[in-house]
Amino acid sequence: MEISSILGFEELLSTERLLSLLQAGVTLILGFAIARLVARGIAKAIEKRVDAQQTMLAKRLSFYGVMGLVVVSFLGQLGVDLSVLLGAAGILTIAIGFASQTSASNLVSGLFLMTEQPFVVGDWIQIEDVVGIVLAVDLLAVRIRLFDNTMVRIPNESIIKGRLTNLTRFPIRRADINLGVAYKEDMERVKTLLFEIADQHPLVLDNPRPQFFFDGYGDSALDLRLCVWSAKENIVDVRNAMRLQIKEVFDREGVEIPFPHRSLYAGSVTEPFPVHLVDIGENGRQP
Amino acid sequence: MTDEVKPESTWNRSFGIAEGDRRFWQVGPFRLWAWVLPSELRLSFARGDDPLEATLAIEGPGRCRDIPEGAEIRRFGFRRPPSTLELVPALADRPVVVSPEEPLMLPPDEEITFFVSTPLWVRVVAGPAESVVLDEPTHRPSDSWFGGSTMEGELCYGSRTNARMNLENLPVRPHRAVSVVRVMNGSGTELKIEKLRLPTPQMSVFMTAKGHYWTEGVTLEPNEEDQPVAVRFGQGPPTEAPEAALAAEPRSPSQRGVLTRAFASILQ
Repeated sequence: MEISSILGFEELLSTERLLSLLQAGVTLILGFAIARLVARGIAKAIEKRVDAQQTMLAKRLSFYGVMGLVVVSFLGQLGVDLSVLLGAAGILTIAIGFASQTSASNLVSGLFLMTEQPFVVGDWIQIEDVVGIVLAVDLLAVRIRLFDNTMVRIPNESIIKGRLTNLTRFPIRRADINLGVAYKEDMERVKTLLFEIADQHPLVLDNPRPQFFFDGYGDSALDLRLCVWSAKENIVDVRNAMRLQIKEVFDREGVEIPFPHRSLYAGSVTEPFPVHLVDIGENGRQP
Repeated sequence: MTDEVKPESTWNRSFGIAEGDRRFWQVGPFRLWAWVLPSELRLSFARGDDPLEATLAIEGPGRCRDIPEGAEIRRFGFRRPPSTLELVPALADRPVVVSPEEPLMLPPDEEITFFVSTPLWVRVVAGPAESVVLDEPTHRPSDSWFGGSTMEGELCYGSRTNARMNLENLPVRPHRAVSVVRVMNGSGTELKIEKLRLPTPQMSVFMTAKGHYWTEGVTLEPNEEDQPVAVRFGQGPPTEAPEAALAAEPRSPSQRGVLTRAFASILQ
């Protein structure tokens, strides 16, 4: 028996076999090109109706879908028995399934996020103690840019399982300014001053009206809260400006914002504790 | 040389300005300075504290009052600096929400007329291409929200002055335009009017010979509950000022004819 026969080169080099190899190769190349064209066509058709993330997902899914068919056709033309592959694929699937539970969970969570859309790219969101701007909603994770310009990647599964706050979902937002004033202050006067400060700031909405809350009798001050509304893009400026303006006006009007303090009483109300100034000698020691 | 004009004169016209010249305008609380340097136009502006200040003053070319500290300065480059500046009035770039002095009940098939005054914007047009280099309010109104809830609605301006039912109660000011708003209740039920949303971006500015500013009349026709409110704009100046001439086109004329759909009623 000749070596070429043992090695099967004769069979390989037969015209029929060469033709089928060529055919398979052409199928693969053409299929790849068609897959790319289909993916681009689908992306172009839907990009005006959906956001960038969904367009990218549709493009990838359509490309891989068409390529899957192309690969099956390619293998079929090469004479590969696909039933054997299917059997092996079944076993492989189980193995991969066990190994990629987390990824699969993230993938499914990502699909839910894309359909439910609790947030979109550009929104400010808070997940636990992470606050930032959504950069991208990917298949497995969401990328967020923090305000110090660092990037955080949060798996989709964590977002679906946990609590998420969308800080920019609605067009207007309320800023709550907590402050304390001394017990001796006239509350009506303080309330009037706070409302005047809010009315004078053009970025504070006059509707809904600012609200004043008396939250309680604190240890060192009367606890108050001024709530003002603004457009969501102005919320940070408004919060800062209001706090600055309150300090300025209170200083000018003589309204005390006390710092934490303790009053000492010896039983019932007594005279103030006597304090004697001690003369410190030249060398810094007591005489 | 100062050539301060009488209050009856108008501020919305062309003004010559040569290189090295300085000009000043005061339109209500709004103060504007302009001066021309080689290849450059500089504008500076500031606002007084009283939004209802009714002063009108024009100074220059030449010596005019000093620019206060803290006034904003803007610079514009030109191949050849402009020799004229045109000041053009405009209405607010967002709708303005106005309230009657007290809420009012309007029975079915009744109508009522309100007179509303809103602040004007000053636009400065310069250069051969007639570019709008400045577009600032004479008084910056407060932001306001108009909608059924805090989740859905529209960002507007809030007006400090009330909607009046008597024109004589509305003082004339050089920096404010008066709008005549008619509300016709075709809804079949009593209508409570607490706030009106005036669609100023879709309205024109008219001016009388005395320098008083008006807009075309607006008619609001709420129909059935939860249906959009029909808004009809008058053609030309209002009947209260038939001699007024067009001073400025609307900012967004293409939005006219679009019914208010975002919320149940343009009136709350």
